[in-house]
Amino acid sequence: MKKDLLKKTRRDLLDLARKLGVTGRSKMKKADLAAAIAKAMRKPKKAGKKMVTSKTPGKQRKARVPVRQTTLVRRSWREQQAVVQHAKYEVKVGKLPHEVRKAAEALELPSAYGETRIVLLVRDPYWVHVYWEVSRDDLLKAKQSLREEWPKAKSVLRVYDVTDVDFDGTNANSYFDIEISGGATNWYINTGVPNRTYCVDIGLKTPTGRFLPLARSNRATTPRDAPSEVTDVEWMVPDWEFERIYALSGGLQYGMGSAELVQLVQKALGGEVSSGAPASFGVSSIVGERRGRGFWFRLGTELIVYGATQPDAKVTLQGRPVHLRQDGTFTARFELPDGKQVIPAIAESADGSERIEITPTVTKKTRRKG
Amino acid sequence: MKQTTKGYLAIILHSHLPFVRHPEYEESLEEDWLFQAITETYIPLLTMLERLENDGVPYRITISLSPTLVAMLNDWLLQERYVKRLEKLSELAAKEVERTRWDERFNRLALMYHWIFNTTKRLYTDTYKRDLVSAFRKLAEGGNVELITCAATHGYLPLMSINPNAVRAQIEIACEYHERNFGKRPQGIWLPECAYEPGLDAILKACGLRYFFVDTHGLLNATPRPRYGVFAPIYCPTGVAAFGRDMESSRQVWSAHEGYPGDWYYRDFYRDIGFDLDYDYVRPYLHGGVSRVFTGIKYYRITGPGEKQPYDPHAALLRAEVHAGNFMFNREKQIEFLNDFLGRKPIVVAPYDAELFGHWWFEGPQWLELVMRKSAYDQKVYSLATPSEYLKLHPRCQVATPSLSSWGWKGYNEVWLDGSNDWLYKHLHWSADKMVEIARMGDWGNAVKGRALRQAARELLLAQASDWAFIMKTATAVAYAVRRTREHIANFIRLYEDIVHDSIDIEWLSRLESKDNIFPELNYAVYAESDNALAGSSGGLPVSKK
Repeated sequence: MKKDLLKKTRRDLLDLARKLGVTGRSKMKKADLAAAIAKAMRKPKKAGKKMVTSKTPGKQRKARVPVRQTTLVRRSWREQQAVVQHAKYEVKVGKLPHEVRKAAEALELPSAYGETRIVLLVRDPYWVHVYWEVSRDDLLKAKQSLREEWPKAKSVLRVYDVTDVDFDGTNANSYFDIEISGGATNWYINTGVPNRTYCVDIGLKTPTGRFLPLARSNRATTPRDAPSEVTDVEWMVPDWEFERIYALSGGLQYGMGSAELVQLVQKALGGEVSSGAPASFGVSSIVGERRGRGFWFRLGTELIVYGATQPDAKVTLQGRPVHLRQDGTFTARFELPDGKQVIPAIAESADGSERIEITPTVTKKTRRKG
Repeated sequence: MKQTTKGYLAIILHSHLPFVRHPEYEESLEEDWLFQAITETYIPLLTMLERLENDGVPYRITISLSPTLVAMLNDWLLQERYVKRLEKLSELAAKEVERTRWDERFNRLALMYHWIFNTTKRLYTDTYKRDLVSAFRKLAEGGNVELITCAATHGYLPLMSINPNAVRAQIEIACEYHERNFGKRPQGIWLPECAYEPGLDAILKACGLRYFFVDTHGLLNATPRPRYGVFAPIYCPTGVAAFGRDMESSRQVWSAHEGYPGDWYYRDFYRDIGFDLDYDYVRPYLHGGVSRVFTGIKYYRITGPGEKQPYDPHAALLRAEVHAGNFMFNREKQIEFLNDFLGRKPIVVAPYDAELFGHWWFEGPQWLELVMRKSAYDQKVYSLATPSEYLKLHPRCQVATPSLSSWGWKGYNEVWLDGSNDWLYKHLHWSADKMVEIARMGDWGNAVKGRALRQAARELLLAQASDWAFIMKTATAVAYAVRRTREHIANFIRLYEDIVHDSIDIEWLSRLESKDNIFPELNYAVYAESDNALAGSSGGLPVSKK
């Protein structure tokens, strides 16, 4: 066992040691590490394994996690066991590439996860999107397998139409290839035909036409862009009537009907009658009025009346009391409309024995051109 | 509900905001999204519905409250901060009353805002005791309001279903949280962005949901053809009902051109003093304290071409009344016609973002109230209904599968999957897979590990919010959306690693728990379900690696 371990890198060993809970591992040399690991592996594992063989975990777990009383979440003991056993066979557990963890610590996202995978997503009736990653190991294997053809091989997406097919890699209805350039790791694919099911391989294609798949995607079905041709025997409706229902559902005029209908409804759907956008809070910080309205100019006028007196005096402006700061100063600010403003300001001493009145008059006139 | 009418109108309000809670800052711009919505939408809606209750108006409305919104309404820190914000705004409004003294047209508006902020504060602290969730619950118990849920963090489900467990967790956690807050499991769900794909209904069914909504084309393009268009729900083969959105009633409210909110007498959303007034003067009241943002004090009406005119609340109310009458009249005509044409009582489903009312369309709550009152007393053609009620009265519906659709721009997934945001999915999918992996490992009675697992689920859920992709696409607060996604994914990765290595940093975990504190009782075991329990997943083939 120790020999096998010594073939691994020290970092792999460290990972393993950490998983096994070997203490003092970071200070060990590689050979010591391997020995410690071999020793730890001979011992029965502490966490998972032991528990699986006992009969308590299922019960314990139920008691601890408040589980809602439906068939859904509540599991029989047997099912629970299956879940646990499944987890035991998860081989990839915890072996994240170093870069992934480092990125996470810097609150950055890793550029790759070191796992080979391709995922197919539907965008709309005519377009699908794929993204993929091929691990270094898998790429090396491919290199070995292609031998001298390797340098000339090109990255290719093979897009299979697998509508109504239980796809086994050979029985697709049809397929086409897309050559990938520039180190792309995702691609938008125009499939052209709505309501079909697709599956995509990322692979390598040699000049001789040999295709070596590296990963296969999930299946995904594009939506229809028009009503189904399938009619329901029980809920049968003649075509002309359905066209009218269709028009009505789309909010079009009652009398309408014909071939353009589908197009019109689609336009109505895709156009201005959408959701969210205007009321979205994400938009709040942008003044939409200013968008697309060309040149604009706004002007406001305010009048500031300020002054000072003895801190304990009483001051009024136009008969309303004004708040004095501790040092006896004050500032009042007014929106100034067109016209004449008479602003009597009166200061009265604290004992009421003295009084000073100052009355400015302000006239404002606005002219606008353009 | 009157049995003698010729059809039904179901008004649906979808309320949602992403989880924006930043204890690490004194003030954050994004928290103000919530505060504005409480002042302008949620409290006006509550008081409006309570008026209807007090007057004994027979009305019906369906409201979805997203779990993230409910969580924020429940959060003491945000409650505390909201009260502070109201105090600040009240102070600003008082200053405005002084400043506009010489201009009657603005002065009365300043007085109005001062009144609004003070009244809102009194309602919030004294009447509702800061607990709006209970206020909604109380309304629902009255029977006129049906509360439904949304996905836990408003995740965009069709782009998540590569891992069905992740979808199921979004739904199940939402249903559990709804039950915890409103006393019972929800009957229906508003799917985030109205986004559906075939197979999703199986998960809804497994979570005990009975109905959801799709956009018009999602229902029209159902297989087989829907006999009654969007005017009757269909049952998915799983037995979950799908209601389709009516375009006509949608357009009257949503459309930028024909829609009511664009009326020249209504208040202009953009002309806010936060932008209009002298920077030094308003700066102390700008939330976040730096850049110009909305304060909620807006003095102008939309006006039309030419110089903006001051807002006149009375004139606006008169317009709201005309528009409510027009809306009712159009529904009468529509439903009368459909009843004749279909030979069945139609249901017209009119869903709107709740935040449209009050926030965007200031007079929206008044309009809605008038629509309800008029529907109850001024006409006999249709009755207001909730989807549950309709299904009880008309349990026989056609079986058909809606087609993949959303209510976003162009009607499919494009808003949430394009060059600006497609990079998200690699990380979200990877994290979802790892979440399932560690949930299946379980915590084996280790309390710290249990906490870490719950927190990992929270971080994943928060990263999945469709809001981030939406913001990236619409290029509004991109930096924030990117940062939020990064943080949550990065936190998830660290938690994942720590969990599988049994090296959980308790101090760090505690910090995360107090920051991203959504769903305190979250049950991470929902991620551990075995795949075959999830019929109808689209993630068919296993990934082969040759």
